[in-house]
Amino acid sequence: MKLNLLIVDDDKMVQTMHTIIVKRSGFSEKPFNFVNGKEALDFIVSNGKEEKYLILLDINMPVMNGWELLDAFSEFGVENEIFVVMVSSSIDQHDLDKASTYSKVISYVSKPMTKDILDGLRNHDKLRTYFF
Amino acid sequence: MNNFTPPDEFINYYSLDTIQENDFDFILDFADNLYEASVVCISFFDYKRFWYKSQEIHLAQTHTPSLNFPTDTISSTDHQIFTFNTTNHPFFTDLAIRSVTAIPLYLHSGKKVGFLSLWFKESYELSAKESKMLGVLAEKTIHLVEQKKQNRSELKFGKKQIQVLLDSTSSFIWGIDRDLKLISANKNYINTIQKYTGKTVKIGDAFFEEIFFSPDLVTFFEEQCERAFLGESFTEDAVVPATQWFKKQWFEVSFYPIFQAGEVINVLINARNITKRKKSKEQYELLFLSNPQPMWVYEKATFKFLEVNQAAIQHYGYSKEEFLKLSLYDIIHAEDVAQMVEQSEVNDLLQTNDLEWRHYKKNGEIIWVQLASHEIEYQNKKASHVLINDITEQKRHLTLLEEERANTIALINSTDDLVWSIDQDARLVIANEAYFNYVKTVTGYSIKPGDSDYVESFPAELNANRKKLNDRALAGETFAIEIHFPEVGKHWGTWSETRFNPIKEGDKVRGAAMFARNITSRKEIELALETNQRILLETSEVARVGGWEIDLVNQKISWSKITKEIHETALDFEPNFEDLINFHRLGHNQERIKRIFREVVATARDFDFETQILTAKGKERWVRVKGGVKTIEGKAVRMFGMVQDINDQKKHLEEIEMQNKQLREIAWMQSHVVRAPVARIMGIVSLFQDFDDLEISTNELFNNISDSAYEIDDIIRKINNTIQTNHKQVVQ
Repeated sequence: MKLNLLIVDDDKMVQTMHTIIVKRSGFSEKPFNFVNGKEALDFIVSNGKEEKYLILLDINMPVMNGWELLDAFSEFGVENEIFVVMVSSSIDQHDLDKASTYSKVISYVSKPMTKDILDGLRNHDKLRTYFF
Repeated sequence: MNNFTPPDEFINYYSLDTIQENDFDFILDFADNLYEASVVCISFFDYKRFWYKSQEIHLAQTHTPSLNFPTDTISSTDHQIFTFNTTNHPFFTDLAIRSVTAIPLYLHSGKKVGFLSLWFKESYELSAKESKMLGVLAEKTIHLVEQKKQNRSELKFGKKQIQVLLDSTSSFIWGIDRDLKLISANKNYINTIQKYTGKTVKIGDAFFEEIFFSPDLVTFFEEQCERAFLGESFTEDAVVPATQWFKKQWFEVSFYPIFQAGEVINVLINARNITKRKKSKEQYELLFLSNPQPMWVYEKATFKFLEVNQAAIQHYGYSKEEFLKLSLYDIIHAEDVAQMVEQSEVNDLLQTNDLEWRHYKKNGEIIWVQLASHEIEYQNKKASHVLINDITEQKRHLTLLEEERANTIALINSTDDLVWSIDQDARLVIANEAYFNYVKTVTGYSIKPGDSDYVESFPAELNANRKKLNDRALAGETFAIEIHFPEVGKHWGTWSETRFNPIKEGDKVRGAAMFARNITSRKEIELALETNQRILLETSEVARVGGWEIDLVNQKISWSKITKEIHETALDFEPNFEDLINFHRLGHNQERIKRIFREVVATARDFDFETQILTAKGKERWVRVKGGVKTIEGKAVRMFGMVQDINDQKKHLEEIEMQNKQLREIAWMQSHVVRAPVARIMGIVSLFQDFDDLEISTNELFNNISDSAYEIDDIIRKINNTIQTNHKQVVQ
């Protein structure tokens, strides 16, 4: 089963950089980019429950931020298999602590995202099966 | 030997009759032992009278009237002892006397006056020695007679003197014959009758003057005269009733029979007025018998009671008859007998001393007495008139007083406090051991009762102070005073509380009693408490903590000064329940305070909350209220606690919170806003490092790096502006 990779960040430069890294690292041939949580949510809901997602999710965004998207998964009863990697410029422990309270969040990455970090994620317990 | 002593009137005429009969007893006894005679008799005679003395009484009683010596014998002038046969003398034969040996008794003047005779039942001749002895006895007899005669001779009056004597006496003297007619009377008698009746008495008058003589008195005289004419000489008391001229009179009347040839021919009567004596006797009886003080008269030789008064009878419980059978030995305590005998030998006429005696009452009760006695002659006996003062009660009282004193001393000695009292002149009267020790320790002087309370060795300042205080007490003031006297600290206590109490008798102050307690430790605690309280007060003022109390029973609310200051009320403000609510803003605040109050009263739980009050001056102020509740039987009766002004603290906290918020904002900005462009730059750099032939233009990347750098700069400036603005606010 293939994982759909979603890049959710309002910074176009970040979207570009993340797209380059995930493609070059072989993480995803065709990542989907969204500028806020709302767009990502609409995308997921419209694709049906069977689709599985790996989301590189920024926190601060207009319309619907990262936290609000995570809350929306519960609120809207989204049942899809979703793995979230929080990718934020914040190094605030508060944010780190908050992220750990969501079951869908499997990792927290302080920007910038690099090839090494992405390689490291490939070995993550929950993702390993999708890459080997 | 009856009627032996002749009336005085005869003394002058008849010397032989003056001899005392017992003077001759030893001669008779001696002769009786010496000779075996049945009768020893000393007989005297003269031309009118005959007198004898014999060891055989019955002889005299039976034979006196007819006793006669043979005339030839009597007329003999022979000095020699003679013996005669009694055959011809019926007097002797009737007595079965066979012979009489006699020695005539001659006075030195040569006059024969009688015989000393020995009467024998058998014919008896005296031996030469016996005769000589009889001569000696006769000499002795004569000596006795001569001695008496000599004495009498000196007292002998002439007939004229007798007349003067009779006329000058205040007694009434008169003589009567057998028909009770007057034969003689002295001047007093004659004059008195004449004075009262106008009558001149003369020989042959009846001496009963009806004016003086009541029927009773007439009977009295008739009876007494009859007695006298029977040969008896005697004295009786008689009462002459009051007449129109004089009051009731007492007389002592003596009756003297006058004998002639053995027959009484006349009676001489001597009446002495004893009214005065009788009255003084009555007075004496009144003074003695009715005296409320027990008295008695006892004979000194035997200690027998001779007379007791009514008070003594009542006091001791014996009747008069019982008393008169007793002696002092019967009522005195055995241990006091020696003292009694010793005292009886003291020959003071009047004795009063402090000796104490134990006497028994009839009921066995022992009483303590003191005696005053006066030596008197009573019933011809050497006696002592004694006044008895029962001091039993006095002694008991004294014992009680002594016990009381002992108890008081024990009581005052049972404390370490100083107890002492002074008299009006500030001299020590009584003190406890603690006081004596105190003075001794402080001054080295052993103070004793009677000493001045201002012991010289006390410091002058202390004595001056003591005098001031003593004077106040002696002026009648009761007070207590705390005295600080560090000098005695090591001996007793630095601080003492002395109570001064005047001792009053009626309105007069007799002295003062003092009670000093060592209060050093109490005082130290008090001083420490005062310090603590002051510190607490100062602290609470600095901390702006006020106290308050709500008496739920009496609905009374008390606020401390600081509490009032916090509420900005006047210092005399007295809050009520409504005020407590009104010090909060209407609405939520008031509702909250009411709710807390209800809860606390209902649960009696301690409380601690912060609230914003509205002061009397309309200022809002944050306070912390903390306290508890006192309950009685589960019911809240009192709320108490503190109120603290925390307005400044609260404001400060708010500021800190604001600053914290800013800091949080800064941190957030640093995390999210500042780091975003930094992370972007780092990301671009990392792309260059990790990958070749990137599908975006280098130009675009550099523009992005440039934009990010400007973005960072802009953000830092903004942050700086914000901090500076806030800092200004905080400073302001």
